Amino acid sequence: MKVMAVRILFPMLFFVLAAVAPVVAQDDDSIDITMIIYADASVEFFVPVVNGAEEAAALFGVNLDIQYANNDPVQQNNLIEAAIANEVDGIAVSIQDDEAFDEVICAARDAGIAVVSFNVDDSEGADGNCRMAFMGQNFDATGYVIAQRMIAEHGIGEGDVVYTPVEVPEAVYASERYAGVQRALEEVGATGELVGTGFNLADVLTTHTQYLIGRPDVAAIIALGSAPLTTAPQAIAEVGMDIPIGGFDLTEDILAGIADGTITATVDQQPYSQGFYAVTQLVQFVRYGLYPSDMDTGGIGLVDATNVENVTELVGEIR
Amino acid sequence: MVNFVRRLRQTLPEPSSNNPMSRVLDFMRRSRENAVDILVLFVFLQIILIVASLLFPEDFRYTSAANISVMLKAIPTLGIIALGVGLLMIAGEFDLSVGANYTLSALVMARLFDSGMPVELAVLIALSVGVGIGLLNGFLTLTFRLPSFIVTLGMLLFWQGMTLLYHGASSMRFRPPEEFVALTAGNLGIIEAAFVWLLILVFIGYLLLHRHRLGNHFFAVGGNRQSAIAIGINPNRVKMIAFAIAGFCAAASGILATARVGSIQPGQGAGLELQAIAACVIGGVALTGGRGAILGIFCGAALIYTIQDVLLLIRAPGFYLDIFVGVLIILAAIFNQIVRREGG
Repeated sequence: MKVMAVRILFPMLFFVLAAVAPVVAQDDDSIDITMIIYADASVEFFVPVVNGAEEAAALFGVNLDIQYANNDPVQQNNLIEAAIANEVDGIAVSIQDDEAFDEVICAARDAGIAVVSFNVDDSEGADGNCRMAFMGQNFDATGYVIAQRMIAEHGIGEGDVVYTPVEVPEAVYASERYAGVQRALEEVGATGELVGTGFNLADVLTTHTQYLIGRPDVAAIIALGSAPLTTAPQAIAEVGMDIPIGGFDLTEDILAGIADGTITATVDQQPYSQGFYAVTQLVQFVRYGLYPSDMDTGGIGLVDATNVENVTELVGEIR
Repeated sequence: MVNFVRRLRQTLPEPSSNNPMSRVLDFMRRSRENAVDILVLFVFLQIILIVASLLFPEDFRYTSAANISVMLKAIPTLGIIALGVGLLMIAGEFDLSVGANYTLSALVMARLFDSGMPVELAVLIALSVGVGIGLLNGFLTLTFRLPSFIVTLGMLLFWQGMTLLYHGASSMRFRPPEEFVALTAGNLGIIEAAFVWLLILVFIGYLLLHRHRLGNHFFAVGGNRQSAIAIGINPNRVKMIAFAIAGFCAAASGILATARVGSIQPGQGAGLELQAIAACVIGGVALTGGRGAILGIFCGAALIYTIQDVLLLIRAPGFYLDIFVGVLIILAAIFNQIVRREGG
């Protein structure tokens, strides 16, 4: 028993107290905010989101912790409930499913916690969820814009099939972007084919090449997310095709594709703004009672060859 | 405490010779020793966390009603899957398709209910789908004498694809009658229905594994297949039952998780198979088969979520959560080994 106490109990006790000590040492008057991202930590798109959130947290002197739900709504529910149990002051969360988070977000609001959504929102907006405001892009409108650009510039028309890959087809962002793209395509008699790719770039590239090999008649690619758009130029090169590419979001590879002409244009949803203003609005509500407002983080203006140089320096960190 | 553990290990007679029966009995005896070890570890950790929470109630809300509630909701998802995976591991096999099974079975339930079928019937069919997936895994493994690790790895991918073929990529809403929600995802105070279901399945699993002849057969075929055959046990029949139980548990977990969240996404469930195996290993289940205990599996699953919960409460960066959990899983397994060795 003595051996067990020395070898196990005391190290365990030390570990727990060491873990708890920094939390105890925090100023009790500080504002605690939890940001919950629906994807996993390796997804490049969310780096600017986190940078924006952290910069806002530093600017306003709040405690920010960032959690990742790994595309699992059950895990995301657990994270939100853990934040409620922790009695944080605010929660910023992406709502990529119309049903899965209704109860738990309302429970957070009932517990007096401010909740805003960012990046992805309930498709019914405030009518479908208890969140106070949404900071993100109008996916349907921007889907329509990028598809119109591709149609006008590349002559997509009657009977054409456009490959529209996306990481998580069941997520709200995917269905709304696709809806906007499809609406524009249908106006000219074309159609989009939605394919799920996941986030792993190697797997995404494989999915692209397999699709293109099977559909050599595809007229264009409109990628609905950063992972499929990043890998699209390499995919068409590998299968020896020369078709136009457009899509959403920014990465260094996407900007390089725009610069060398393989990508026509991309929609920038300004993820830095999503993270920055999500934290900012939570802080303003907690401190001053200023109710958060919906914020369209832009994206009607496209990034293309005419303005790509302006964003190149900031990509990956801010853009 | 050490003497207590030693007395528990003496619940079966010592092997008196090298015959197959003695070797089988020896495996069964040694299989029970791990549950107490992991239970001791788990209880010590809980005591320390409770003390820390009582000392710093405003900063470490481990004992708050909200935190207890989320733990009692979260542990069953992994715990129920781990029960089935653990039983199968004791019998000497693996099932890596439990995550896909978890998702597909729940999706079947949701779609059948959405089509107008009574939810009770939809649940029964979903559980049958889960059992069927388990039996198919067993059939392929045992008929063609393939490593179950490989077969179920292939079936994991197969069922993930079948899920998309069956339903597509969109999420599926599941809003059953309130009575069903109360039974599966409701609560009485801080007692969550899902946790009650976990306890019921743990109890049934305990009776099966430690108080029924079939449980002895699981240990025997997992520990020493030839000796089991020598004493008249049919290993294929025993393993098929274990595969079916693993499939059932995966489906049951998916049903409870879907009832709680009210929605199911085709892509969820990924990674649960590895977490379940980790829970079993922490709980003392041998990767080589023939050793383990239901109590250990339960404690292993609860320990994994306890670690995650503590890290969330202390606001550890989510970016590094996997690192912390991975290291702590290994440490917990090492501590378990130290305790066992100290027990003699």
